[in-house]
Amino acid sequence: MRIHHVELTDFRGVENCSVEFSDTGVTIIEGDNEVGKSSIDEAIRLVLSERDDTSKAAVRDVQPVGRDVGPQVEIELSTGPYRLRCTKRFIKKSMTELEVLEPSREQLTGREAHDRLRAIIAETMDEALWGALRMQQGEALAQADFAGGSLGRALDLAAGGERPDNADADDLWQRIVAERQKYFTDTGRPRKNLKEADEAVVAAQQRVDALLDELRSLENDTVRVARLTEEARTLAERRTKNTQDLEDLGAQAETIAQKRRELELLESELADANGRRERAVAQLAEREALVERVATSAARVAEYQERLDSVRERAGVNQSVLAAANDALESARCALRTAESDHRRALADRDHLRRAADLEELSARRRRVTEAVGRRQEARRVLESNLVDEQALTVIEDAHQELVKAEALAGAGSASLNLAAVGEVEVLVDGEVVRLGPDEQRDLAVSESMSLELPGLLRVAVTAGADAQQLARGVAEARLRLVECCETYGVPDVRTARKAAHERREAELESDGLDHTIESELRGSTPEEITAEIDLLVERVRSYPAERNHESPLPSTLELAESLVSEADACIGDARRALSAAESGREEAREALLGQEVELSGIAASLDGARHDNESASAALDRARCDRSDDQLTEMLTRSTEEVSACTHSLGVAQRSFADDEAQAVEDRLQNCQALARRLVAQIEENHDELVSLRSRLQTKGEDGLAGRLDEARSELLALTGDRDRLHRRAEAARLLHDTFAARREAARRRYVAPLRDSVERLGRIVFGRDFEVELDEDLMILNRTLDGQTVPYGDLSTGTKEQLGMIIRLAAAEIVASGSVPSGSVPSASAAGSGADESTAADAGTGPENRRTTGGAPVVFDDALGWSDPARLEGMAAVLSTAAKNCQVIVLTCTPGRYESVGNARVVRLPA
Amino acid sequence: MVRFIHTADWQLGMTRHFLQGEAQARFTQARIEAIDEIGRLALANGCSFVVVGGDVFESNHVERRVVLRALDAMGSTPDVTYYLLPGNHDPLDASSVFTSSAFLSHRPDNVIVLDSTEPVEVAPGVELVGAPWPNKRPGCDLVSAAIRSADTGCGETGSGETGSGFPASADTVSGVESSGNPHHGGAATLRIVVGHGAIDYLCPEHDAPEVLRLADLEEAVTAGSVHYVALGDRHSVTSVGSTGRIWYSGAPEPTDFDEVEPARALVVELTSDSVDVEAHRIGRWTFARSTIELSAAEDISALGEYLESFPDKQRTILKLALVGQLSLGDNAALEELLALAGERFAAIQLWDLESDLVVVPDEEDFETLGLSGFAEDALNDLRSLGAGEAMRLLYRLNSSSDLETNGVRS
Repeated sequence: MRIHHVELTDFRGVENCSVEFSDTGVTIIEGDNEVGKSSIDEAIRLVLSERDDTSKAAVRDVQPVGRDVGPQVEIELSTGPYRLRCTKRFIKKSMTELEVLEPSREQLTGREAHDRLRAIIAETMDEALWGALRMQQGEALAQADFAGGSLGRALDLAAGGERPDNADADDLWQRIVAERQKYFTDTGRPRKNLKEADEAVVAAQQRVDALLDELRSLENDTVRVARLTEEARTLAERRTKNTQDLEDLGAQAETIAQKRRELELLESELADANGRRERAVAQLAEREALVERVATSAARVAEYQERLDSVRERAGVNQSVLAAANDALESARCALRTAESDHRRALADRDHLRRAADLEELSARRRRVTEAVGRRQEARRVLESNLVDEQALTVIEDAHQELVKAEALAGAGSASLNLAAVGEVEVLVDGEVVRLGPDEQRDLAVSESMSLELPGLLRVAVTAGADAQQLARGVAEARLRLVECCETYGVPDVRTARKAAHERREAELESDGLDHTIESELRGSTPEEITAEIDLLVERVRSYPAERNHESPLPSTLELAESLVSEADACIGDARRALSAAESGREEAREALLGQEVELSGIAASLDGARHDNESASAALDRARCDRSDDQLTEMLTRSTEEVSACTHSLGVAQRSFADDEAQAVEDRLQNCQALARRLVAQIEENHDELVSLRSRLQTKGEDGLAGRLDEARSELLALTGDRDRLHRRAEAARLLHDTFAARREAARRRYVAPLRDSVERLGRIVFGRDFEVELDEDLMILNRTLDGQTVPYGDLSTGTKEQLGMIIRLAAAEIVASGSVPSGSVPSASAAGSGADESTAADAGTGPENRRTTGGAPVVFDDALGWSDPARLEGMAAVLSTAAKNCQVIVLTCTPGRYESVGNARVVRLPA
Repeated sequence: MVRFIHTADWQLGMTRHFLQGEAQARFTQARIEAIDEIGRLALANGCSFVVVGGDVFESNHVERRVVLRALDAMGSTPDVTYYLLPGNHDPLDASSVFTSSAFLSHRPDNVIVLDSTEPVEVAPGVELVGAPWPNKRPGCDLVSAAIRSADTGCGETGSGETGSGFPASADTVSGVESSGNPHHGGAATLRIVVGHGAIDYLCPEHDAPEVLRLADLEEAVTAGSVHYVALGDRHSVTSVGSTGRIWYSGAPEPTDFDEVEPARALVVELTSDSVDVEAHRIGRWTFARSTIELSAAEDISALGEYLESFPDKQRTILKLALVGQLSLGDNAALEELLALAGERFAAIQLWDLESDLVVVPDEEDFETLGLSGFAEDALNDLRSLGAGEAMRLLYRLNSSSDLETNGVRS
């Protein structure tokens, strides 16, 4: 189909708009959004498909808003052999006019016109392809659906080289698919009907088997009944024989029993005789035992008597032993006492000697104390007379010092006189004679006044000034004080005082030393106490020899006394040991005596018992003999022994006449026979029971019509098996048919994919370059694109590339369908795609331009495509559009004219704003 | 002289799996009606009794209605007495149909079971000796045993005479008369032995112990202790041996395709020195089988004529072996023909084992199919695979009228 002209009136927002389309080549319809560029596409669709009186929303939508007018579309187009012009007004004053211009003129209106238009469209156009070739904005990303339809047919044609009856072939294929789907799912699994048929056969087989089993068990029962019946007969026979055997054996057993009773009688007689004999023997034995008992007890009496005597004798000996032991014990005690007394004396002696030593020592101490006291009194006396103690000496020394000092002062302050004797001379100084030797000098200090006199010759008075006088007075006073001090302590002068002080100190020292001596000698006691002690000791020491009162001499020394004490100690130990030995000896003797006494009383008791036994035995013997004499007893034994041998004899005779083995055999057989009888009864009963139960089972089961049912089930099984086999055959045939067709069909499809792929690649290389390749699947979808040796799955391609490929494949498909063949020859490059290529394509397809223009196919419509492409690609795509448009009609709707400005052979229609 | 009807192998309760639905019902009904027909035959020929030589019932475990209907049918001719022999299908074992409650409580007086070898006097001077099957594997020739037990000594003495073998001449038959029945007081009692089972004469390879020995039977017949042996088991009317007195009556209604002259009952007129056996048609059903060569459209129309030639199609069970090669078109016609026949006949059975029909598309088929391109390739693939069924399906799918619903059961 090629659209030549479209005119819209009152269509949506468009009041009037007329577009002329380029037959071949690209028609670019430019217009801003909402101006109506998309309306043109929509108008073409509506005018070709909808009746003028339709009330579809799609049609109502195109009525201009707010205007009571009917939208009108006029279209002129060529399709197949037809060229026609159609005008439709919808909704308001609706009308349809169809004018067929070629091949023969027709003019129709109204419904007739619409129907004719539809008929022509249906006859000449593949509307599915038409839909697939329209690329709406944004839809490009979804791949075009070319499966089936005229592209498929065109490709089939290309592949097969012969034009098939397309509709019929498709129809046949659909029927084949449908036939297969009756039996198999799309994935090739058997459907329910096949499975059900199989299951039905299995179920029928199971029913047959079950019935067969039942029948077989019935037959087994039947056989078993026959066998049981035979067995019942045999059992009855055996039972009869068994009854006869029982009778025979019973009679035999009775005879045997009779004989056995006789035997038993004899046996009991023998037993009686034996009993009597045994009693006689027993009585005799009893008598003998009694006699023996009397003898024995008498012997025992004698024996006990003898033992009693012997023990008594031994007891006498033991009593004397005890007496001796007592004596020994007494003497041991005595020895101990002596030892103890010796010991005491030794102790006393030793104490005495110790006291004597103590006395001596105490006396010496007292002497030393007394002496020390005397000397201490002497020293104390010195101390009492000499007052110059340390303090006094200090006072005196101080006063002396004062004097010396005062004199020194006075000497320095007073006038000094130097007397120098030429010859011996006596001078009176203040009345005192001073003698001077030759050349002797003397310095005199005049403290106050001084008078010098040379006796006889001269007197010189020297008077000191006032100070000198005072000083002189000071000296005098100091001297006075010194004197006073000396007087106080009873010494004349300092020198004496010093000596006295020394003496006093020595006396003090001595006194103190004596104090110490006395104290140490006293050892804490007072002298009185010591004296008292001495007195006491003296008394005791003196009195001891008298008190001792013993002939033995006192030990001479303390050491000797001590050793005597030790000796006495040892003597005491010995005596004590001897005593305890004696004591235990005596205990032994006493216990031995006691034991004998116990023994004695025991023997005496035994003796009593024995005497008693003897007496009672003798009495019993007497009584027994009184009852039955010994001779009588002996006679009884003889008689019974004879009876026993007689009975034994007659029993032996009877036993020899009775065959025990035989009797036993009869009894065994009888018992066996009886057991067999019981067993037979049980078996017969069992047999009968089983027969009854089997018969009743056969009765119920056997008349159940099993055979009929089995036949029925078998028939059903056969029928079902047949059904199943037929179904499977049909299914298999359907599958085989389908698979064979599918394989061939797919092979053909694969073949016809090749031309489309070639076209796509030819066009694609214009945009993408020489090494552009694509791979298509059987549904004509692009699987992947290869560029520069890189193969990328379609889904991973960029949006722009997808869009470009979407356009290219549509253009390629349109080319193929439009020419009814495939553009053949080598793939032309973009630059080589000129009019020459166009001519050669047409020539190769074997159709003229006129034919080509009027063959099937549909315009390719792009509504604002290529929004995702960059300028370089846009340019390439423009070349693609130009190239493809040589073979098919291409209509581009766009609101961005710039995108398509590079398209060479384009007719541009600008819609008014 | 005595006249009676010899029949056997009623096999009541038998079903045929190839009969679908109502056909099976009619077949079953026909077998009951055969009893009526036998009754009518007896009355028409003045027969006072009917001997049934075993296999009255298909099984001891037939459904009760089979038993009841059979008894009703026999009871409807009270003047005719039916002597029924238990055979291998219905032996007299513990589950015997003849001792079932249904049988015992509904047995009319004119129905008597030959349940022992004890001779039964059926008319003055005529006695029956039955050889009932006591179970399915009796392990001996029951008929010979029955003869021996019924007439001890006769068989023994006779053995020397027939030691030379057969065929026996008419003289021998006459001789029987003079020497027969020494134990029955001289007056010639006609003895009819009723037995059942295969006979060695007809299946020599059959070595089962219960196979009947013709020599023994002929010896008894020749010796004159037995005048007629009424046998059952073989469904085809058969005179056994050379005495003319030993017969298989065949089944009154056919049961299988391999039966020769079935659907008969025998009217036997017997004297001590003569026997006249006449076979009368009883059954109305037909079992037929045929091998059909098919190679062209003409053969199909010939088959159509053949089918048309059967007079009683609704009671005819036809087994066809189809051999040859047909085009898809001809095969479609064949299928249509057989589908129609399937409706008219009791059953049309295709004999798979013997059939060898190849379907190959011919030029005409290709034209009719009008395939091209891949479809044509696919058809060629199918042809080389020999996928007849798939091609037939293709033919059917491609033709405007869908033949699938008329598919013939095979």
